[in-house]
Amino acid sequence: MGYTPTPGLPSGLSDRYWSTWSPSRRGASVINSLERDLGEEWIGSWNDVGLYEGNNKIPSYQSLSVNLTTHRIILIPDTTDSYSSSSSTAGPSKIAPIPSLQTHLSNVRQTEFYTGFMRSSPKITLFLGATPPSLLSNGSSSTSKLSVGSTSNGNGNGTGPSDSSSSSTFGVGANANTAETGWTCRVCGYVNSTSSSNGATSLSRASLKCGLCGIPYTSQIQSQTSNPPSRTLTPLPNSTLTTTMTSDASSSPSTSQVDDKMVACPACTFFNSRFLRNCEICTTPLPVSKYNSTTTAQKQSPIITNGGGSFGSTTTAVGSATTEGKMDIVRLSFRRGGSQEVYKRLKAVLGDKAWERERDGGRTAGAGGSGSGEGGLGSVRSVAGIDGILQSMDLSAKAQDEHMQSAFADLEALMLRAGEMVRLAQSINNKLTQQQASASASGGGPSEEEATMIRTSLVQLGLAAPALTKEMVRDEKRYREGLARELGGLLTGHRDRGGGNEGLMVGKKGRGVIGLDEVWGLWMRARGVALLAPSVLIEILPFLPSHTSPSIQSLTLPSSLRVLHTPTYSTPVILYRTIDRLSPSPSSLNFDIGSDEEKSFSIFEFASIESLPIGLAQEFLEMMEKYTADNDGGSAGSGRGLVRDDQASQAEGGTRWYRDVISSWPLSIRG
Amino acid sequence: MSLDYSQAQASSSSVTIPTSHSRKSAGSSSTSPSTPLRTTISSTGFEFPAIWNFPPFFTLQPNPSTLSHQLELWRNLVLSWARHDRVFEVNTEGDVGDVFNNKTIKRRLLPPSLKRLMLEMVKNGEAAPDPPKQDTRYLLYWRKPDEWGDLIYTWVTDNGLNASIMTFYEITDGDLSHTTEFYELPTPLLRKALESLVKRGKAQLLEGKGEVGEGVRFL
Repeated sequence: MGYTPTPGLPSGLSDRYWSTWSPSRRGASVINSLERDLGEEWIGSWNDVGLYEGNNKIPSYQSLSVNLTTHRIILIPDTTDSYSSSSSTAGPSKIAPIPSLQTHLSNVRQTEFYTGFMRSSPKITLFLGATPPSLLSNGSSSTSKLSVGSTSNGNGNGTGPSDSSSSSTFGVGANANTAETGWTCRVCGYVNSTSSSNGATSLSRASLKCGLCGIPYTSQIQSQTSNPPSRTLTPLPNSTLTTTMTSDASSSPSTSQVDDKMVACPACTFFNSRFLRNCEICTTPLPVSKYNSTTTAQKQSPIITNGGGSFGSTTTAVGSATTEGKMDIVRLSFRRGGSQEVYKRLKAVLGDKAWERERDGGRTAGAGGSGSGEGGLGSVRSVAGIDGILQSMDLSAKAQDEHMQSAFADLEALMLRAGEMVRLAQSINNKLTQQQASASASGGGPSEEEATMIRTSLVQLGLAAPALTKEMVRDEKRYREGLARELGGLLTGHRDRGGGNEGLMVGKKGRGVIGLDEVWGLWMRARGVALLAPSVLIEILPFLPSHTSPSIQSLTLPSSLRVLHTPTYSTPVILYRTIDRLSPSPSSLNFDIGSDEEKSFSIFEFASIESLPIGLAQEFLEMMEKYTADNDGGSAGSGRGLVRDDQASQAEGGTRWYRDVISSWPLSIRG
Repeated sequence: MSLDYSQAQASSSSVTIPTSHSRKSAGSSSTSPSTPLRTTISSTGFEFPAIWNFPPFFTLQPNPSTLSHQLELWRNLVLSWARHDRVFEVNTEGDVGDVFNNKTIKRRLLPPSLKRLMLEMVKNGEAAPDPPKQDTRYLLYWRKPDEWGDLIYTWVTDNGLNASIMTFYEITDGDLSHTTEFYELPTPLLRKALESLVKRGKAQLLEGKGEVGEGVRFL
C-alpha cells in the first residue's frame, strides 16, 4: 500500500477502521473506560495475541491482550513488550510507547476462524468494511439509507467537486483499490473481473453485466466485492437486500439512480423519475438527487461522527480520510489458546449488535453531524411500509406498558398504605377501650354511643379489632375458645364491649338460622385478615354455645347442610310451636261452629310464619316429621309430630302438614 | 248381618256426627285425640272413622313409628269395611273399594301405598295374593280360610249334608246357602277353606267332570 500510515497506527491498518485507544484517564483499565452511556459492556480479555494485517505479521503488535466489548475490539500491547520504533511517530493522543488500537464492531463485515495446524496458531480473521452511513448517521434501523461502500465506486468517477480537503487523497486510494478487485454479482455471487480501472465512470459501470447470470452491475454491490454472499459467516450489520434497496441523500447520486433520470424509492425500491418528490407507489419522500454532493467529507462524516462523537479519541481521522470500501483483513493469532471462546463470543456480539440498539442515545449528535453536510436532508425518516407498521406497533406497545405501570403504581401505593390503615384502626380501638375503662371509673370521656358508632364505622371499613390468630394464644384449646368467643360476638353481639345485643342472629335484623357457609363467609369478612379454614369453624362449633347468649347451637339438617340456630329454632321448640298452632281451639270442637277439618299449612305458610327461607323451611319440616319425642306421655293427647298430606292440590300450596293425630288414634277393637 | 265395626260407640242415624267420645276423653292417650274431624256413614251403612277424613291418613308417613300405627289403623279399617260390605277381593290397580277412596276430601290411597298396605296385611295373615306371586289382586281374609271351613262344615252338618257330594256352586250360590255368610264366596277362597277341611280330614275334593265343575264330599 502506497500511503503513509496514519500517525499512531501500524502500517497496513486503515485508519478508516482503526483508531488508537487510550484509557479514559491515565492508568484506567478497559472496563473503566467503556462508553457506558452507549450501553457498552466489557465481555472479556485474552492475552498473547498476535496481530496480522492480511498475511503479514505486524511486528510491534505480537504480544497483545485483546479486549472484547459489546461495541469494540480493543488491542492493547502488553507493557512488558519491547518498545518498537516502527510506530514511534507520536500521535496526538498517544501516551503509551505503542498505541493501543481499537475498532468498532460495526466495521466487522465478516469473520473467519482458523483452528490452527502444526505450528500455526489458531487465528480469527476479521474482515473490516465501512460502516453503513445510515446506521451511524441516522441510527434508526428502520430507515434504509444507502449502505457502505457504494461511496467508493461513486468516487471513482472523479466528478465530485473538490469541496473537501481530502478529495485528492481519496482519489489515490480509490484508484489503488478498485483497480485490483473485480465486482461480485449480487445475485449469483460470481466474481466478475473488472479490467477498467479508475477511468471507468459510474455510467459505464452501470452498463456492465454479470458474466455468469447477466444481472446488471449495481454499484452498491461493489462494496461487497471481497465479500461474496456465499461466504458470509457472521451476520452482517446490513443485509444485502437492504443494501440494494437503499438510497439516501447522503449517498452519491450514482448509487440511488439507475441512470440519471431515475431515483429508487428508499422504501419500495421503485424507480421513480427524479423530478418527483414522492414515490409513485408508496408516496415515501424521495431523496433529492444531487450532483454536487459526492464529496469525501460527506461520506466520511458518519465515520467521523462515530469516531469523534462516540469514542472521543481520534479526531485526527477527520482530515486524513484516505480509505475506500476495500476491506481490511486482520488476523488475530491466539498463541495461548482461548481462540475458540473469543470467536464464540465475538459471533454472539456481532449477532447481538448492541451498538445499533444503543445508538438512539447518540443519534442527535450523529444526525447533526451528518445533517450539516447534507443540508438537513439526511434526517428524513421513512415511516412507510412494514417498518412503519412495526414502528407504530412498537409505540403502542410501549404506551400500553406505560399505562399498565401507572395503573399498578396506584395499587402498589394503596397496598403500602393498607398496613398503616390497619394499624391506625387498631390504635383507635385500643384508645377507645382504655378511655371507656377510665370513663367508667371516673365518668366523662366519650359516651357509649359515640364509641359504638366509631367502632361500627371501623367494622364497616373492614378494620375491626385485630382478629385472633394462633400466635396470640398459648394453647390450642384457648385458641379455639377465643375463636368461639370472637364468632359469638359476631353472632350475638359483644355483651362485654358495649356492642349491644345486636348480632347476626339476635336483635332487630337477626336471623334465627344461618347456614354454616354463610357464617364462615361473614366471619371471614369481619376478620379481614388472618383468614381461617372452614374446618376450623367446624372445630370450634362445640365451644360456641358456652360463649353465646342466647346459646347458639349447630344443627345438621337432613340434607347434611349445617346451620347455626338460636334456641328458638331447635327442633323440639319449633315443633311444639308449630303443633300448638295446629291444635284446634276448644271452641272449634263445638258442633255448630268451626269447620270439621284439622288445621294444616303448606311449606310457604310455614316459611313465612317462621321467617325462614323456603329451603331451610323444607329441611326443618323434614326433621319435624321424623322427630320422635322422648317422652310420649307428656304430649297430652295432641299429636306428637307432624304428618304430611302429599295429595294436596297445587292450589293449596302442594304438600300440606298436619299435626299427627294418627299416632294417637286408638286401634279399633276387632269383633 | 251384624255391624262389626266397633269404634267406641258408633251406631247413629245421623249421617255425620262429631265423634262424641273425643270430647269426653280428651287428654287420655287410650282414646282418639280431640279433633274436629267427623265420622262418615257410607251408602252401605258402614261408618267410617273420623280419621278417614284426615287427609294425611291417605299418605304413608315418613316417620316410622307413625307409619306403623297408620298401617295398623288401615288394616283394621279395611277388614271392618270388607266384613261390613262383604268384600272378598281387592285389585290394587283396578277399581278399588270405597274405603280407599274418600271422595269428600278428595284423597285416595294411591296404588303404591295400597300395595304397601296389602303387603302389611299379607304379613299379618289378613290377606293373600291370588293367584300367588303377584301384587295386584288380593283376597281379603276378614275371615281366615280355617274359619270359613269351619263355618261351612257346621252348616253342612246342620243341614244333614254329611257324606253327600256338593259342587262348589251349590255351596256358595245354592238355594240352601242364601242365608249363610259364605254366600257368593269367591271360588279361590272357597277352595282354600275346603283345603283346610281336607287337611283336617273332614272333606274330600273331587275333580270336576265337564260342566258340573269341581265337587266336594264332606265326611
